[in-house]
Amino acid sequence: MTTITHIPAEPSWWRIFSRNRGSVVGAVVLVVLFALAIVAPMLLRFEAGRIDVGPSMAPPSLVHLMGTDELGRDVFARAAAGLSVSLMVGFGAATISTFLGVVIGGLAGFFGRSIDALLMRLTEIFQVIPRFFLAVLLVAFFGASIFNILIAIAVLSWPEIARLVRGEFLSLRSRQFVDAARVAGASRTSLIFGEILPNALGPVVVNATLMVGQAMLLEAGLSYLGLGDPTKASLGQMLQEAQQIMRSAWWTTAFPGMFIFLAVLSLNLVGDGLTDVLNPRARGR
Amino acid sequence: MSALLEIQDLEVHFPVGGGWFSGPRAVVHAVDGVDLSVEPGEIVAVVGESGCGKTTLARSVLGLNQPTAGTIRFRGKDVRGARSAQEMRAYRRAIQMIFQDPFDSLNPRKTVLQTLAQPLRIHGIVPRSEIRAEVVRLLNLVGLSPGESYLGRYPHQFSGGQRQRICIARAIALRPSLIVADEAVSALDISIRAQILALLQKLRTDLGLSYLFITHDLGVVRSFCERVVVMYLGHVVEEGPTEQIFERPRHPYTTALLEACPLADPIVARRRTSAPLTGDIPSPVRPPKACRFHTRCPMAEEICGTVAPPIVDCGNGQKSRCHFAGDLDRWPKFDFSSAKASA
Amino acid sequence: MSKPLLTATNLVTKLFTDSGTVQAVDGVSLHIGHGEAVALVGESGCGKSMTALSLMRLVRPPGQIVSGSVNFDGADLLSLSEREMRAVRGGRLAMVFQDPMTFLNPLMRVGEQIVEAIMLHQRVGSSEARRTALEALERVGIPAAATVIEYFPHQLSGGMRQRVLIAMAISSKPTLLIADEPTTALDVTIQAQIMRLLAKLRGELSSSMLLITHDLGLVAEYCDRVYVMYAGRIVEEGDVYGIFANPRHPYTRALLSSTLSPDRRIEKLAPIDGQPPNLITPPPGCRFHPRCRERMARCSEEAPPNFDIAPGASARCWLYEEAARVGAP
Repeated sequence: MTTITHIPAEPSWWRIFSRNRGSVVGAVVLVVLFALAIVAPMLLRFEAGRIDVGPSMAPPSLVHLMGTDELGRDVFARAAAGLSVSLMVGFGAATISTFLGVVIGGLAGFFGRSIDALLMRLTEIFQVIPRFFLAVLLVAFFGASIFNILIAIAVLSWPEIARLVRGEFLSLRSRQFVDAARVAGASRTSLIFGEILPNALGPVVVNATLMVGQAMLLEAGLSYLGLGDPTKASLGQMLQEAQQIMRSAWWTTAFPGMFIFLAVLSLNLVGDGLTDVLNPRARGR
Repeated sequence: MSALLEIQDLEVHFPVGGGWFSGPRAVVHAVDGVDLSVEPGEIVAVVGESGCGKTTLARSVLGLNQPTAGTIRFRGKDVRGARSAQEMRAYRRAIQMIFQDPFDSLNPRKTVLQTLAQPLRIHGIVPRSEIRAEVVRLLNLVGLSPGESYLGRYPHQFSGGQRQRICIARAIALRPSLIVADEAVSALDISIRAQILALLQKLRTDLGLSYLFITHDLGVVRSFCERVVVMYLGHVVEEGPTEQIFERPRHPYTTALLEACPLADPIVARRRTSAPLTGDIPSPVRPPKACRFHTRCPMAEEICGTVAPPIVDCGNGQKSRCHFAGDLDRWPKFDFSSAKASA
Repeated sequence: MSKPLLTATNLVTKLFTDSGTVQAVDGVSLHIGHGEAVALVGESGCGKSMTALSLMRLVRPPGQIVSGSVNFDGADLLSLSEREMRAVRGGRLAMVFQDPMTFLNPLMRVGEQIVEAIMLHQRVGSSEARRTALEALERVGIPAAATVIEYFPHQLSGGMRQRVLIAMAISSKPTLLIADEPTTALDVTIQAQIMRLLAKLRGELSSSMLLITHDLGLVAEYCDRVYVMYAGRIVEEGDVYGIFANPRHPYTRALLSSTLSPDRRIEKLAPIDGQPPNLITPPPGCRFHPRCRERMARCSEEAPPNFDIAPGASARCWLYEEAARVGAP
């Protein structure tokens, strides 16, 4: 009788992830940023939006860690609040666009033929429109609320995911294990959700991570152009407001800018590490 | 006696190339007018080289691709006519498949239990509460015992041979009467291949299975299969009882295959004097006219390139698609040690 | 007996992977005589390809040659500089691989690739190299070589690509050709063409060949001498007729009884159980003992040395301790 001679131990996902040092650093930075965005508003002495909590344009000191701006607002408090807005837009937009992309790409890849052709032409239309320009139009037309910005970014970002998912579905649907499920009598739904989708999710998750960063940048860009939500200061908006005083008070732009930079960079690093974790071929090596 | 599976005039053509606005650029004649039958309890081999259509044939039997023309009957019922969901389900249950690549035929994200429970659940083979026990029973049956210890494992934790055993367990889970095995042992090492073949042999007796065994390995055919169907470029060129085909082939392609295949005996192997076939296998997009083998055939004459050969009945169930099949002088008893294409 | 062309002694190659150290080649000694065709036969993962790569010094990380020596035509290959080794490789020592596509540049015409290889190893001009390339292509039976020379690799069939690779290998008139599963990816009739071609060329160039394969049929037909490899070690050596008529090591016997040859019908298969061991944690003693039908108590404790049984025939199995004059371990 056959006996189990050797079953290789499965390396834990954290072990694979932690092989990539950059990703670990990225993950740590991301956690810190999240903590800052959530906890800082509760702990800080100064309210984010309040003016004249200190002197105007005071440089960083022990009282105002990142200094104050023209209106005497605490830059640290504002940046922390802005970070939470930016992160929300980033994750929200990435979630929605990933969902759209998976549905559209999945349908195209699974059914192929004319459905594929139709959906892919639609995708291409969205891809050839300059993304930033359309975002500006959408926000200008529907009004600059956080929700509208989030939706605008999501609507513009799904084609990338859709193309990726379509490719995965196309190659997965002809794999033998999918045929085996067909032979076993599996329904279409269970082929899609039970066999194909779980195996396509790896690259999608990685891509979604990168998309969070892109969405944050897009939001910052919109805010910088003055198209941000005036009621909720985001990092981009802070940069826009500080434009005029950038030379005399560097801290008003440096710290918000640093937050954006750190968030996007750490998201990319984490995405890198996730690639290793989610790619079964990279395992066992 | 009625055949378990009966295929008549099966044609499977695939369009290739072309875009949205242009029609397909070419058509692959993967299977072109194939007749084939499997009797209950029989092991039938389909042999041939790449592009001969053997895999397409197998997939058509399973309903994994749509034939262009022809009929497939199972227990006398036309499968393609049977579009009622219930009939289709019954058919699905009765014919199962083992795939070629044990590393590709199991979903990498499913445990053994999930993989094997799927067909049981879909077809309601056993009550839900008994699925686990049934999976354990299946695993023990295919030599993975104790079955309990395998349930929670993922495919990448198994070797190729073990995976193929899991695939066999999945195929027999529905208690089918016919299993189509597409190069099921080709990817396995010699010692593991023998284990899997022995297992298939045992399951056949224990469960009363029939096999349609797609392979390119004539060694496996001789020891494992009772009847052989030889395919070349979408056509069946010869068929008959295994021993008879190996002893007195009546088609030059069969002869060429027998001459080309490696023999595990240095004395016999080195006595062979015949030259191997020349040239490559033509593309099934543009197969040669008339007899498809005539471009590589050592005995081809003018007629072979102009008139399609008829199917010649050579007796005892042996049939050949060659103009000269009836001319007995051309077909001496085949001897591996002096294999020679008859001139 | 004259000095062999290639002698490998106690070659050890390990793979240092994240999950542990794989003892891929564990003390392999073999020799290849002038004009001889030698087979290294075994199942996947037994270390046969790693042995070939070690002989060519083509082992890549995480693999590493740990110890041993390879003497080729009077030179110790393992102590040559990388530059000197490059001159040997593809020159007097050439290799043909299983998958020609991985060794052909898809963006370069096959002619250019052969010419490039020739100019690298022989001090000739481009027109001379082109002539040699054409000659080599004709020699490997490529019809209309002058046309094929302008093709890109994807325009050729699998058999043709393998011919191109062989043409590249023989263009330098090697004294030893290492062929690693050269026909595994090919159809039977094409396989026969390629194997006959290799045999013919070997005769014409009076070179030696090391055939790495899992197919005992190819060994039987095309090789003079055989090394059987199991789990990183050579378990049996002998001339081809002896190995097939009178296999000594229980593993060789198991392999032969598991091989289905079309010239005979086996009614009831009697396969050996189990599977080859994992080479990170190989079994102690004789590595075959867990699957062996003739195992004795000591097999699981002490690894058997190589016992010389007859001239040119040896087996690494305790069964032959008494019958043998004990040879070098």
